[in-house]
Amino acid sequence: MIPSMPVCERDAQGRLISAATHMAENFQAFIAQRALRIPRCIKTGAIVALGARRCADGTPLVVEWLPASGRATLHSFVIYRQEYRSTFPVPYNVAMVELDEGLRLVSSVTGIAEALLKIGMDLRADFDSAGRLVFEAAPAQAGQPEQTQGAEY
Amino acid sequence: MKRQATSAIVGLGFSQLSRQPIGSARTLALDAISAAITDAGLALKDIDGLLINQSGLAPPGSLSLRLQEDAGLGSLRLLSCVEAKGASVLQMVQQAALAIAAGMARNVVCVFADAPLVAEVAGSQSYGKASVLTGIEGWEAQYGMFGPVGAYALLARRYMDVFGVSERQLAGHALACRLWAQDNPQAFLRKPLTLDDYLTARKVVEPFRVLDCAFPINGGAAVVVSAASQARRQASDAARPAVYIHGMGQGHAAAPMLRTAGEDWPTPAALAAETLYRMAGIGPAEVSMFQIYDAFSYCAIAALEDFGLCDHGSGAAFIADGNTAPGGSLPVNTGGGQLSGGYLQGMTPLAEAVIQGRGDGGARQARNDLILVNGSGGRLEYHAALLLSPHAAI
Repeated sequence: MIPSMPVCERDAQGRLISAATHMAENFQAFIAQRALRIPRCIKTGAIVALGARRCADGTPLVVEWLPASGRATLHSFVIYRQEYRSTFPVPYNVAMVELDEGLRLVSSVTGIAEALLKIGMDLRADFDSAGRLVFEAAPAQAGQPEQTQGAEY
Repeated sequence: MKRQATSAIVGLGFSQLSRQPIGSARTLALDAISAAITDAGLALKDIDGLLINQSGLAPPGSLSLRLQEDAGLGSLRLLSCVEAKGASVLQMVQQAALAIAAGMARNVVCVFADAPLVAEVAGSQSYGKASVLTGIEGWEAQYGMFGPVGAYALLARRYMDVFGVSERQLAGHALACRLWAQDNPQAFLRKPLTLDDYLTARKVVEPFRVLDCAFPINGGAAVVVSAASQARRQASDAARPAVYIHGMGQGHAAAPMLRTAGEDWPTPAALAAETLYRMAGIGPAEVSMFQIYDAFSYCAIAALEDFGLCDHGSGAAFIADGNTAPGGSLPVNTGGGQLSGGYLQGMTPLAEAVIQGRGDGGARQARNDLILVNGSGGRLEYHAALLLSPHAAI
């Protein structure tokens, strides 16, 4: 059950922070609002993985939720050609993307022929009609305006 | 100076193995336990330890501590369920060896059994649950990333891109394992397999074809681990020679989900390898054969590199060049492995290691002085390894 509102508060510096115990629900709640935000440890300043619950020094993790740029590269991808569920007719791709900020996550690349998928290609985050975070091939031309990243929270 | 082993595998037993439903994991485990104890030339009353591993993908409680009572075992000095995904079986043997060395127990049965194939359900569906990679429960399922196959295929795809590996080279492991399986009467897939057969086989999760994935079966297997001193004393009475344990290691680390955490290679198997080689006092050059946990063909590539048997990035070429096939310099998965032999998780490579160690390999018998065995699981976060030998001292 994804909450409609992230469990966060603004700290004295105006940062959007929460304990890492709310990591999963908050990430999902931002996604539900078409926002891609990534967690950064407020103590070390390091971007942390979404599964992290402790700061590098072993103390409970508190994170700042940063708006992601939406830029990413294609770290790897696979093509499902055997159907596992009727709700996922084949073929479709599943991708491991690496955000510019360094975080890796699973997603899918949309709007491109599978033959054109290339590891290392530049991607841009977007949201599909089902509200899923997906990635498209980045605009090729220099100077092309960046797409804004859904709603600003 | 030679090192003496302190423990040995003295018994090996199987339940019936089948693609058809033949009973629950519980009943298959009992058959395997019984067979292993008989094979060891021991009686029920001689067993004072029982370690149990069920598939991590089976419903919780498929195997339980109840097996002690089910198997008719009396009081035990060692009993637990062991769970570490694909590293579990070798971890059971390690725990048995450690308990024996500490004087806690003398004859420990280690059992694995699974019944993943049920009527009317395709094998792939038995392994169709979505993995968790991103760190958020349910995240991967929304993209249709079903089965461990997806995670392993992601690893393989990037590896192939970074190191310039072709699908013809990826085919190498499946082809080599099938050659070995042809000489294993117990292997499930023994029909000759050509490169053309491989290339025209259906892709399941590209780059993997169905031939790159383990062949699920229903069944159980067990080994008996005993003190080496006892194994040597019983040598003349025992049905089959003991296979001694000379090295053990484990390695575990979370999958790298940040750029700063680096690539997915080497896997934590490198840590298991370091511990094992140090304990045994040997290096990779001395390994005679390697029984690899190859749920997916890529696992063999990674294992060869991480255990130092070939250069980093050259695992696929090493296999494709025939080095691991019959006649090659480093026999790998001499029973056909999990791709052609059948998927009994950690018991597939361990059982073949024991068979080879005993000299029971028949037409597929290879040089067995130092047998490396590994187990791996998750998406290659969890690893265990053993170094076995027919020699009590190495």
